[in-house]
Amino acid sequence: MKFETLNGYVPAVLVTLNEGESVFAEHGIMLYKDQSVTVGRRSIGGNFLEKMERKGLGDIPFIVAEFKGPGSVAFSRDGKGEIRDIEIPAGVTMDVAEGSLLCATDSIKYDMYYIKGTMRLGRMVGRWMDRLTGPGTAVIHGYGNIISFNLDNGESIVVDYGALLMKHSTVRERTFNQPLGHGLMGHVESFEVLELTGPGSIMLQSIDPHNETI
Amino acid sequence: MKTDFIGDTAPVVLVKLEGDEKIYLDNDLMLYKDPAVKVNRKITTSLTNRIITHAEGIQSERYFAVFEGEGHVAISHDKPGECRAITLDQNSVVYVRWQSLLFAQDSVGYQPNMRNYSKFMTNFILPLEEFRGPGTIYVQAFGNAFQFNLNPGEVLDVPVNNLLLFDATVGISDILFLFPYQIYAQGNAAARQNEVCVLKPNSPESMSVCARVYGPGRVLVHSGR
Repeated sequence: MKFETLNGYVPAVLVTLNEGESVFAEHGIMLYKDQSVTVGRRSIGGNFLEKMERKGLGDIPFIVAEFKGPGSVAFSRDGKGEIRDIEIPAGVTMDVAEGSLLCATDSIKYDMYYIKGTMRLGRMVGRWMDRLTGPGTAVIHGYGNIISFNLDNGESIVVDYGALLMKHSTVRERTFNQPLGHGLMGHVESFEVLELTGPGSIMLQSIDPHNETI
Repeated sequence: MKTDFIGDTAPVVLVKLEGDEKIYLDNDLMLYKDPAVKVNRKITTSLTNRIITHAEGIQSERYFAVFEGEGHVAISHDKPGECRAITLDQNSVVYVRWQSLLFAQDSVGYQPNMRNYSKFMTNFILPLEEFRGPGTIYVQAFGNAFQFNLNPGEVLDVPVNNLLLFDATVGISDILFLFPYQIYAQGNAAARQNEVCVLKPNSPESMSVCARVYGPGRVLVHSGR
């Protein structure tokens, strides 16, 4: 299996599959494929009500599509940004922001992870992340530019809620309202942020896909 | 204070604050910060003014977030485009397109500047932000930014949505409405205005309002809107 990034303003990834190899992805993001590549489906976790909740509030699909070789298939998230492919060792778990996974090899175990919101207006719910457990390769799309950090044990960083692209599952998160100074108005006019605490690596994206303007 | 630009698709400005340095910005623009950097607020306009401008269709902010203390703050406008640093001398003033500011040093004075160019049968407000030196402000263009240094009396016609920044010495003599323009101007008056305004005759209606700016002074125009 070969992954090739088609760089550009709106990048894509081209996956070349040998006989019997497969990747999974959201079916709506396929750009093109060879006729020889067959499409199946792979159910994702949770019961019907959980799937309805994720679909209704997070626009997470009920199922993902499985593309099986031989042949080539390309995926694009229809957004400007960067693409990275990540090797996930066996037993290691990574969380990827919803709507950012391009594709992943079939050997990866797929699950979902929910980050709570602060229940304030405009952010009544949190957001889901794709939880991927190795071994295998995952390809992700970061909106804008990608900035990577390694956090030591106990080291923290405060990030915009929409900036988180990927994190190791060992990185703990805490959602809170960042007050603007002291006093009642400082708390009323607060804004929602995530505090991420190591150990583990994180990737941030410079565009919040929910605020994309062009 | 040290600044670095990261990335080129949607650039990020990384600011390293030292000592008691402070910067202010719209809180939505913060990408990340060190936990040691404190956040306060700076009131920019009265609640009454905010309600008035809101009623006029302009979502003005009433406060900025002020970041202070030792550490890093990364700032992103969630859009592609060039970032420019503008250094202001004591009491020098620039006007910036509304919501183009990335951040400003705390020594820079701020006030919103809503210019009303309404005329008979027309209704047009140009929302700007006024910054007064000393200090440095960082702005981000939509797309690419082009700088013109106008001599006294030199004139440039710019669609208002493409006007990013201009010095206080630069004047705006008129707002021109391109024909066809159904909302702000009608009939023969619009046709006459069209004769003197030749920019983007085939552009969509939202681009049909031009500002006629004249020197002396600096004008920054951006390619997006």
